[in-house]
Amino acid sequence: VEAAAHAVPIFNVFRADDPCDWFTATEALSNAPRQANNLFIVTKVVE
Amino acid sequence: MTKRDLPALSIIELRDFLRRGEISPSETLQALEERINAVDPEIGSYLVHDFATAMSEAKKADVSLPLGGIPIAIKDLINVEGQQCSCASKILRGYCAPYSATVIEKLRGHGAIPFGRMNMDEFAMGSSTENSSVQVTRNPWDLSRVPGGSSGGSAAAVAADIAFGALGTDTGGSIRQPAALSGIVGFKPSYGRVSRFGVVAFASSLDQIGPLTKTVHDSALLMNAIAGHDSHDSTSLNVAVPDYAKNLGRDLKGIRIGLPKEYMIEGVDPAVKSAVIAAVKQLGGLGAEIIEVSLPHTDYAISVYYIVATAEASANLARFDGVRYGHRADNVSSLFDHYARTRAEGFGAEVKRRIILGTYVLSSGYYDAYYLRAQKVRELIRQDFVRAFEKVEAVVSPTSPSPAFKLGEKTTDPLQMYLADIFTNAANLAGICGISVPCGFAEPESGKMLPIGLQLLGKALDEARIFQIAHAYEQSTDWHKARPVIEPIAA
Repeated sequence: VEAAAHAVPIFNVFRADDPCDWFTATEALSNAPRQANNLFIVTKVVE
Repeated sequence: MTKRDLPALSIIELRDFLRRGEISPSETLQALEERINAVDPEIGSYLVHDFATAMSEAKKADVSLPLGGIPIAIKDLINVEGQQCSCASKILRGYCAPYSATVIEKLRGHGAIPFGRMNMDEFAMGSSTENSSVQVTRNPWDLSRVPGGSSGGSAAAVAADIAFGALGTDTGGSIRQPAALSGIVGFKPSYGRVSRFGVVAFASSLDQIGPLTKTVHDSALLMNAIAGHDSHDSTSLNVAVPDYAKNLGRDLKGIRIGLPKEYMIEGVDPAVKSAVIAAVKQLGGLGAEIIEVSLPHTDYAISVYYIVATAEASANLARFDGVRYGHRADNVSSLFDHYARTRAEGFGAEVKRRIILGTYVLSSGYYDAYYLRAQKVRELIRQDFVRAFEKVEAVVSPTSPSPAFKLGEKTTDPLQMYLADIFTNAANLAGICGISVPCGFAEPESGKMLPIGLQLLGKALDEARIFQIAHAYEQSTDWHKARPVIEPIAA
């Protein structure tokens, strides 16, 4: 039996690679719990 | 009709009043708001609603559109720009959607007004809405019982006449089961029929958005609005969408309906069993041919579902890391501490249970034994339906093995809760469409009427036929006309 990853088998779905307006930095940061200088503040990763 | 009676109208009835100019969209919203204020303190279906914003939309509404000026309640996991989208979870408390889901754009394109954020089980994980981190939602037919879940807020609001219609999501039965327990119509579209862009993902290969309404006709109207291809969702199917209201009113001559022998199992409530048997007889009386069919892998559906759904959930919920949005733990000592405490504080018990189950079945050494095997059995379940639909146009069953259960009755036993979706899970695994329509009442104690739902499943993309059958059944009975009497609970 083949394993069913999806109920409807569709593959390789592409759309035209057209630029369009999307989130501005302000919008993308609008729900960030901590931010500064238009960036997300992340807990220190490198010791 | 007085303004007090207005919220009891179906969408189609309301549309006629609006088009004749006998009432305005603003008056409609006003009347709805008054009833919400009077009734929802008992029900608890709305998490929040923004009357002022909706009113500004109502004033500009074009009633010539198919859903012009009609407020539609939205489950709190579908993004509406500028409104909260919390999934009834602590981890998304205060989250404000920066964009709208495709279904919301489509509803607005048909003139509807998205109004209200409806309570749900946290991240749509549950069958009673008791997993909401915010509040309890009560069943309008008996306030000591659950409305079903996970779209319990949407279902209870429609049943209590505090929403004309609502959108929910169905990953394993989360539209159909609460519709059954609340005595309304709930429709799960075929996988890929409705765009999932803008819905917070639980299990991406199973989730579908669908309508909860008072009637089958209303359900078809909402599907006309939300169905169709969307380039933002690569799993959305690029196929033509028929007019779902077009076939309504046709009889059932030549329609074959399958009764799966595996579905009349022990443990089904006697009232549910007799209501469904009577409904099948009724369908036969309407001209349908009733044929016994077999879905031999039915027994495995729940097991497969709780492997596939939890595996996908564990991946989808990894995005809640306390960096880009949502809750973030304070005073963390390391990155690990940041993730661990953010998620420990933000997620509820059932969500944690499913993430743990999901990561376990995907983990190295167990993947083949659980996840891969489940995917194979999923294919067998899908083939069961393909074979059944060679013989019949629809498969009929109870939607839920029991009517609404008491609040708290199943919260300590997750497996019992999972069994509430025993008849609905398989449709999601197979990607087919299904509806629940009211088919009777159980009377567990004197004076209490608990709705029972009939499930009709159809093959993938055959929604129009399922609406036709469900509508013919509905119109030949009075079950959908009964309304609950909401009695205030003692303080």
